[in-house]
Amino acid sequence: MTPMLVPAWHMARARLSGLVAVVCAVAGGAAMVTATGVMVETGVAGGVPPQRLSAADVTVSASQYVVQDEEFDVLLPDRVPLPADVAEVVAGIPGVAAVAGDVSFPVTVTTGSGTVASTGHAWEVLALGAAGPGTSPGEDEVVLDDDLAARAGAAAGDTVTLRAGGHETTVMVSEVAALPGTGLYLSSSAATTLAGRDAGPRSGTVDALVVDVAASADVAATADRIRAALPELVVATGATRGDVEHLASGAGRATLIGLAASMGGTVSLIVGFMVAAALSVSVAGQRRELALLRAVGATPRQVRRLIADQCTLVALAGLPVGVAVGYLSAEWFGELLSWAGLLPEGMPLRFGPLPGVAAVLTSLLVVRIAAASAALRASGMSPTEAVAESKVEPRRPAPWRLRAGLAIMALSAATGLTPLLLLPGEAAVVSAVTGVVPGMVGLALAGPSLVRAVTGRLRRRLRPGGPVSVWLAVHNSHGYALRTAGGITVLALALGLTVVQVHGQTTMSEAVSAERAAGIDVDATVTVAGGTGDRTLVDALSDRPGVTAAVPLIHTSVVWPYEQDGKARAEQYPVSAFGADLSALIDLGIVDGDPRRLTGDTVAVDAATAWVEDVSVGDRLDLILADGTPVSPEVVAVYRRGMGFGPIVASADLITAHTGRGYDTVLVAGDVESVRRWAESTPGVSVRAGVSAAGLGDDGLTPDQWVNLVVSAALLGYVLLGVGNSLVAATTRRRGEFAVLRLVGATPAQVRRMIRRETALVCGMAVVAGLALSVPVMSLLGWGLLGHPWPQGPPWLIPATVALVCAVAYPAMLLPTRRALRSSPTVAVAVA
Amino acid sequence: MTVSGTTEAPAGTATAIRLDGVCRRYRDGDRTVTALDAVDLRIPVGRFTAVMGPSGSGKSTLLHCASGLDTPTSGTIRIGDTEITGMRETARTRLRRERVGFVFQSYNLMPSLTIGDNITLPLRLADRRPDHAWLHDLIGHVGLRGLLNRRPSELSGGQQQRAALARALVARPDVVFADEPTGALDLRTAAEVLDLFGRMVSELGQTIVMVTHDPVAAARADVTVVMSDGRIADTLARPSAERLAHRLARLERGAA
Ligand SMILES: Nc1ncnc2c1ncn2[C@@H]1O[C@H](COP(=O)(O)OP(=O)(O)OP(=O)(O)O)[C@@H](O)[C@H]1O
Ligand SMILES: [Mg+2]
Repeated sequence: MTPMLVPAWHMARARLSGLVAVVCAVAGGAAMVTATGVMVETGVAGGVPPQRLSAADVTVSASQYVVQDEEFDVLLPDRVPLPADVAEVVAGIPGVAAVAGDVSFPVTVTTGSGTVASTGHAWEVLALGAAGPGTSPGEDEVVLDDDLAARAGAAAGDTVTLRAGGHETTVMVSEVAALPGTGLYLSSSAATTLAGRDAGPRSGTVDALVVDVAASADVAATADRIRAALPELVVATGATRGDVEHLASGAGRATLIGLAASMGGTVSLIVGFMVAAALSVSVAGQRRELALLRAVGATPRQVRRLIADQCTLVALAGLPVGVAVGYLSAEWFGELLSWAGLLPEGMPLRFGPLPGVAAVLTSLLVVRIAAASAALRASGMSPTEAVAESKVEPRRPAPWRLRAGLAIMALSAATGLTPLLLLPGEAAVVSAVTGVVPGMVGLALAGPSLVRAVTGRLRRRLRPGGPVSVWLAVHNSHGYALRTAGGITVLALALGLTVVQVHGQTTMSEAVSAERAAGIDVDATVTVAGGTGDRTLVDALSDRPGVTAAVPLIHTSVVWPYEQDGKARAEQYPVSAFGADLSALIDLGIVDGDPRRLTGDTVAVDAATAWVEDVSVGDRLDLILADGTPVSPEVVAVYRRGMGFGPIVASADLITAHTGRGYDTVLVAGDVESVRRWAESTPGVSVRAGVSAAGLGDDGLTPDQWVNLVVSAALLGYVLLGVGNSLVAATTRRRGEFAVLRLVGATPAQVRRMIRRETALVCGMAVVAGLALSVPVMSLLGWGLLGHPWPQGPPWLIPATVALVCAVAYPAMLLPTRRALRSSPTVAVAVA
Repeated sequence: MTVSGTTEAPAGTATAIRLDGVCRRYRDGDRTVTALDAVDLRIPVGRFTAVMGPSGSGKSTLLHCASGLDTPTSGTIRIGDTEITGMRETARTRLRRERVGFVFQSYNLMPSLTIGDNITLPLRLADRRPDHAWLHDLIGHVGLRGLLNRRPSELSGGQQQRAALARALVARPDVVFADEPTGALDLRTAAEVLDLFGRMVSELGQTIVMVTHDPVAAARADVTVVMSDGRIADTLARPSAERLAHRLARLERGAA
């Protein structure tokens, strides 16, 4: 412990309100870093434990990743199959006792009481190893997991109809059992047929091989031997088998890492910003004591040490709470992600110590840096200067601050807006939104000079006979420009951030909705359980009386690999794959080519993407389908409505021919009632009016947009908490000033009025600054995406945020004023 | 010994401030400190009254109570004909800013305001228009012409104290109280400020009550009140500096 720690503690006690602000800023920051850390840790090391495959010692599967240089590899959402005959290679490896092929396939189960969707598997995998559960089903039999049996209303001995990939079979339920994995289980041959592995594009493949290692052999050594023999395949043991079994687990992990990466930047900037703001208020509040210390012989180094020690001490007080809150909110956030479908159900978060440790270390680092810069001025002055200046804040803000601040604001505006002008789209929105935070840093630097300039003008325009409270408020804001600007900047940050985050989302979703509304003419959406629809189904629909058109649709994604500066890169896009006759229902806004040619191995590309990637009609694109199949479809059309339909629209044939997947949706124009009646007699389909069930509706925000909004709300809360604390601290410090006013003859009511006017001034300037930084960006966004400059979104958002900002500022400034006015002015002036 | 100051004032001289049986006690934990112990005092109009006494004898407390900045625990205080004890804070503040000026040892100017604005602040607070002729004279008197647009931090201590005096006088109060106004100044500057106080009394007929530790300064006053242990020990009319010094030395020895 350094000798200066004792005075540091005593000074800390004397300036509580300032330090409370620091504690809150540090604790909140640590909480957010911890929560982000939990997501990263889960993303890197978490996952769902293996269930169905838990009997296997080792699994062998194809890689689910498209490799990128320097970036996270792109995860493929669908199962990448591997040739079934690899099993023979594996079986020959020493230590391997038995090998079985695992297949899973979407299947619908129809009983007397209805049809439910589920997943089918081969029994063989469960039975591997020493003692499998129950007895294996025969050729015409099925074993149901008890959960599925309950849903389908089936019991042992019942006859059920299974439909999958165009096959239909009627089997008897041989057993209902509590099984390690959910779904239904068939004999190997029945499973192979229903999974479409005996013919078609998936012929002769399995999802994975499960390996039973001989009791005499070592599992790890055997796995190594398999790896050596099959270097391009993924050989998993232990918990990582979970990722092989549950593809969603891997996807959830990728989502977590992506989320953490996208949030991390904003979160760390804001935490740094808020901690620095709180520390500078706290250090400014102690300037007098620091000056006196300098006067009695403390060296600048000792003063810096003192401040750094004090801040560290205070930070240490806030860290445990912050870390605890961080773990709790991570848990809560995880539930939100599951609700939004971004995290697979039942995927536990990992709560290791690492995120907490990381939060503590980064917080302490931020505090040390912020403390060092806050202390610089107080420690650098000569003692006499320090004592003289301790009564008034530095009169003029340093001129470099204005220049640097304006430069940063200009730069962030330029970098944030350029993509918007060049290429309006989702990426442009992101860059515009993230550009606002550095803009705020610029505002924080330039703020004091700007406040001086504005209040200087106001001061000259004051009516001579006007109320003294206004006069005093303007003069105070002018004279204490640094203090005033501190509050304004953070309030403006809260406002600007909220406006940008929310309007960024809503404007984009509005752009999507607008293009879809213009481009889709569909009366009903038919959803096919398990994605097992085929041509017969579509034809049956088209033949219904009153139906004018039926277009099948597959929701999938493709990966577009490319090269950038000699490095392998890959971008993943969600893709709608339509049937050939889509033009009857869908108007993509064709600018080139012919959408009627969208059959076979073909795609259409949106104009912006075509321009960036330099693609035109007739070119072939090298793409990777969701299950890893490489394809080279021809570009047959270029369209304009990229916001509504995404950058790539594929022919459904491209997907069905290469992956064996069926249609998951059919879009229908015509008489909805007729479609409804048809659905009643067709198992496994459901009908909804409109297109929202197809994910093409305009029903507002998507789940991940909701998640973004929740993150924004958390950040807003943190920023408002910080600004509230800082304002309380700054106002509490003004006790002496209030006392002087009262000694000169101000009544307590006049002082309160003055503070109300000052708060109004602060809020007013914060609103102007916050809107000035955010509205132009949003207008450009609206202009770029929608063609008109007013941003979309709830009209109450800006007024409500302004009201919220004021609702924080008023009590934060008025309550400490009231408290200060309670003590006698003669006492207050003596201690201040 | 409690002596009323009336004997020293010529008959017919009006009373600016009158204290009757004023006590002020501070609660300090479970101990009470009696800072003023049944003080009776009459401050005549147009006179320069000095208050002296050992440290802790209650001088500041006396001034705070008499000026309405603080309220006594018991007793009554009248400013002119108005009794201020029992008044509410706001009413007392209004009366105070009309009728009383105060000068502190630490000048207590508002750092964010210019000297000119600091001086006229009491008028603004009272919503009164400044009397420009008077303001001009006053600034001439205190010698601040040309410095009105500066900030307090840009003035010397003596200049700041002159500004504080001008602020105390700007509303043409009945009485100006000054608590060790020269305590933070060097000898020459202190003498200048004291001169200024003297001239305010002689040229403008201003009533002034000033606490000082300097017998030479007190000797300029018309009346000197000597305090000890919260009571008025002596009221001396135009005593010599030597006599005051002697008296104080005795008191301080007694206190020791
Ligand atoms: N706020 C307070 N709380 C408790 N005691 C106080 C308070 N203010 C003054 N006192 C006590 O009242 C007594 C008188 O104090 P006062 O300030 O009036 O003395 P003074 O004569 O002005 O001294 P000095 O010459 O040192 O300024 C002292 O004993 C002091 O400790
Ligand atoms: Mg005193």
